[in-house]
Amino acid sequence: MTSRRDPTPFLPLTAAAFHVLLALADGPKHGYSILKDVEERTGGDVRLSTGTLYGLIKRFLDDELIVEMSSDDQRRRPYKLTALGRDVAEAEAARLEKMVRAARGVHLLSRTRTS
Amino acid sequence: MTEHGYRWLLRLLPRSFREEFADEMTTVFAEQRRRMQGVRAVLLPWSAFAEIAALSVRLRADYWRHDLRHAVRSLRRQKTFTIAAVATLALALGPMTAVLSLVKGVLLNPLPGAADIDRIVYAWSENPARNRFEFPWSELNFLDHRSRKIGLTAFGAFASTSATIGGDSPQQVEGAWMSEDMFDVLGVRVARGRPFSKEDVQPGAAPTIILSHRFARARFGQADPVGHTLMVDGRPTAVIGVLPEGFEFPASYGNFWQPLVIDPAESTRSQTYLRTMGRLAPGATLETVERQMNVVAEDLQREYPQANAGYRVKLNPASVQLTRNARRIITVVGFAAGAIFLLACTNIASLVLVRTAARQAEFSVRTALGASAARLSRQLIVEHLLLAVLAALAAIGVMEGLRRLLLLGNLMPADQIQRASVGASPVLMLIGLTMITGMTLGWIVSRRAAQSGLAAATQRTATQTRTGTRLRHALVALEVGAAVMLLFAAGLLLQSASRLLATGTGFDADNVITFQVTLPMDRYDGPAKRLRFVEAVVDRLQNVPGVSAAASGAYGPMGSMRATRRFAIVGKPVPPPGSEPIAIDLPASPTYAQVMGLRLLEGRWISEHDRPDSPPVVVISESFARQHFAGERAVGKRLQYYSGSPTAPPAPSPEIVGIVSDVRQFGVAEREAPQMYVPHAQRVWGFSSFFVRAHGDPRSVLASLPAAVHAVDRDRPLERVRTIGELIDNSTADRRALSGLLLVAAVVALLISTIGVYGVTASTTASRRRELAIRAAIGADRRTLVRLVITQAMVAAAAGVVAGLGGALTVSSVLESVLFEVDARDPWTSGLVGLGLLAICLIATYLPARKAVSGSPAVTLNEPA
Repeated sequence: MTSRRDPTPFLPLTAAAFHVLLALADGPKHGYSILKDVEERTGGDVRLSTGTLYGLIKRFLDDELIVEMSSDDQRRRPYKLTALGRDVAEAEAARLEKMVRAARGVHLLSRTRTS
Repeated sequence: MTEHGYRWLLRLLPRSFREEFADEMTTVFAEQRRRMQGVRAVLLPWSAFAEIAALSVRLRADYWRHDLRHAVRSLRRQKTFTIAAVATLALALGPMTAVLSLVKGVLLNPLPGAADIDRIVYAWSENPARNRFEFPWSELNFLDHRSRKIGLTAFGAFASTSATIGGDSPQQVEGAWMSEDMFDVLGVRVARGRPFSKEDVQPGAAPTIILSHRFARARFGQADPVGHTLMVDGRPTAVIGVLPEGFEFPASYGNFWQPLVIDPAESTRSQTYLRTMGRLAPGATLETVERQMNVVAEDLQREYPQANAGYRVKLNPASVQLTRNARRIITVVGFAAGAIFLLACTNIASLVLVRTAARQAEFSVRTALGASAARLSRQLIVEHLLLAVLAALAAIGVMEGLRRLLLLGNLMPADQIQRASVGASPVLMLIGLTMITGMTLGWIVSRRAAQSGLAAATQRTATQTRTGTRLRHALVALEVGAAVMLLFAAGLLLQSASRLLATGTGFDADNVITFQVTLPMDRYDGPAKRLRFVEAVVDRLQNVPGVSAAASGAYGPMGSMRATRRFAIVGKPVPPPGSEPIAIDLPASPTYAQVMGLRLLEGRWISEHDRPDSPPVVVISESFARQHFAGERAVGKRLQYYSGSPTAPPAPSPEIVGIVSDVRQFGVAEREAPQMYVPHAQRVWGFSSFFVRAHGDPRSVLASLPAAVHAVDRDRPLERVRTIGELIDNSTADRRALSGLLLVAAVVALLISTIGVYGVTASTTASRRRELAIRAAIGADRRTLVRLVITQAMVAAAAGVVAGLGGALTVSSVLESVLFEVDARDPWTSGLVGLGLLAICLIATYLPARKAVSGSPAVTLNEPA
């Protein structure tokens, strides 16, 4: 097995960055579907602007968290998580979980919120 | 907002980003917009703008950060280049900034604290017929001009003085007398207390004094000195004011000001010691005021023909007058800094060109990997900006060092140099210069990098090589030219300094120490009392262990004190008023000639029999005899002095009793002026100098001197204690330091240009190795090839020498004022410098040329290009 890069230098992620990675976790998507996915997943709480999205895409491409897949339509290029991208998303999720657990420990969260 | 509008908005983003994502973003934006309703749809243009602007800023910051990291890596990889470039740039920028800060601190701000310096003028009297220029004023002429002034809001007079400020340990300090309007002229207000009033300057007024901030602080600490009484020259004197901090006038040692009290009844027009300044009235110009003052001067000539014949008024702007010496030094230093700047810049340019040539492969690989030309050039600019910033930091060190050198060499008044300290604005200037340098370098390199696209990396065309070679040869010529200019100037100044040092002063006074004592009027009213003091002190000094002889005189050599006297020669036609000859008036004691090492050429020296009541005598100098008694015997003739005013008793008519050797009384660089020595006993002033010859090191008797003076009067401090050697050294210090400075500059220049010429030839020949190998392969022999390379480089060098000498001769007039007995167009210096540099260039081109043709042509031609 080739040694994988350590995901920790990329942490913590901003909410927008985390949601973009989540959107790509279940398969390649192009820009607009990422936006829609994020909006639906968060019930409209997080609405990314086009600029924010492509700023993130550019950075993820540079950092090799995602790659661009070949496509016939240059105006709708799909992007895919790399192994490193997946590791980063997982590490961030684990980090968030630890924080939630810590909050439970001091009874800041008495029950699981569903909203 | 339409898609078209959005696309237009995307232009805010960096191009590379836009090229990659603009299409996609527009698609996404269009789909988003289609779904949007209500307020969000209305606000869409604004939110889109805000978001794109923010993204643009973020992306650009990212790019810069990335480029900077890249630049650091790149510079680190090429340590030798980085160090060479930073050092050269620092040497170029440091002196240049130092000069700029001197210009700003000294020339543009000559008198801190004075208001509207541009309206202040210095007024001098002059008498062209008598070859007197920038001469001080008599009290009465000053008063007349002041009462008839036109076009001046204020006209004041001042004179430097020193006073014993007492108490238990009396202290001799420098200060000035000034007329009550001087503060109006200067536009300065007292920080505490009050300025001088009309009453303060009346004869018999209670004595008052105003202190400088520094002196007040030293004497009174934090307490307010106004209202206190100080003992000044033995008289209780009221402190009435303190001037603002940092204001020092007439020089940096101005500690106090006392009112200039003029009693017209007692004053004469022949005693000239006042300097005057005026403030131009609104609308008046220096020229109009000068014309009007000369109308008054003509009236005064008619009214007082005996004292005023031939005199005129000359005005100088105060800003020019106060910085005249500094201006000269700054010009010379600026000239050197400019030449080094030029040199270093050409050197850097050729260094960078050579390096770019070596990096062509790197650029083409990166272009191939998708870096845009814009991106590449931005990275290069960042890289060179970083280089320039590093150089700026080093340059601050160079600048501070240079400032200290100026301070050390005593080239300019210390306060002026202090004012030019490394402050915010010189650093800003430095940063400006740096930015320009970095941008220019980066631009040059990126242009060349762009030229060498992907294609050029594998195959360089002949034209490009030729353009490159021509450019490099132009750089060689420039560099050699700048070096020639500097070396020429340094050569002249060195010659000047060595002539100066070789020129004797005429004194034989290596073991002599001198000091001055002031004899205030209150205790020493009348020549008899003063003479008693002087003779008693000389007597005591002679008995100090280690002292071989002691003498007295009115004033010592190499100082600012200079007394002259008008005379006529008895038995010769009386010269018309205004054109009487003058000579330096030097009261001296019977032992003075022996102590100072004057040689007696004819007759006798002053003796102890020349008493106040015995017949007046005078001993003249060689040049005096030559000038006024050519071909006749001077000893035995009589002079006739002029009396100060018509009411004064008739002036004495002394007999010439001897002739002594000439001395350079006022500095090595001054020409001999006719001198006349008169017995100190017959002419003793309110201050006196003493000259003590020791058996060995004059410093060894230093400690015993105060006791000898205090045994006679314990309240008299010793002033200006110096060995004659020190005084002579000081008088040549500025020229020596200046030539030292230029020598350093010239050595730096020589070094930079040798390295530059070598580097350029080396890289040029290296880039021609294939061509040379082909020539060798088809039968050219090595010596011909070496000659070919050398000839081409030497033609460039020779062009540089010619241009440099031409430039040097054009600007050599700036040097004229600081040269001593050296022609600013000296052909020997120019010839030597020119040939010397050509020789150095020959060596610098021969070595790389030989190396280029030394390999086997077959091997060279098989190397990858």
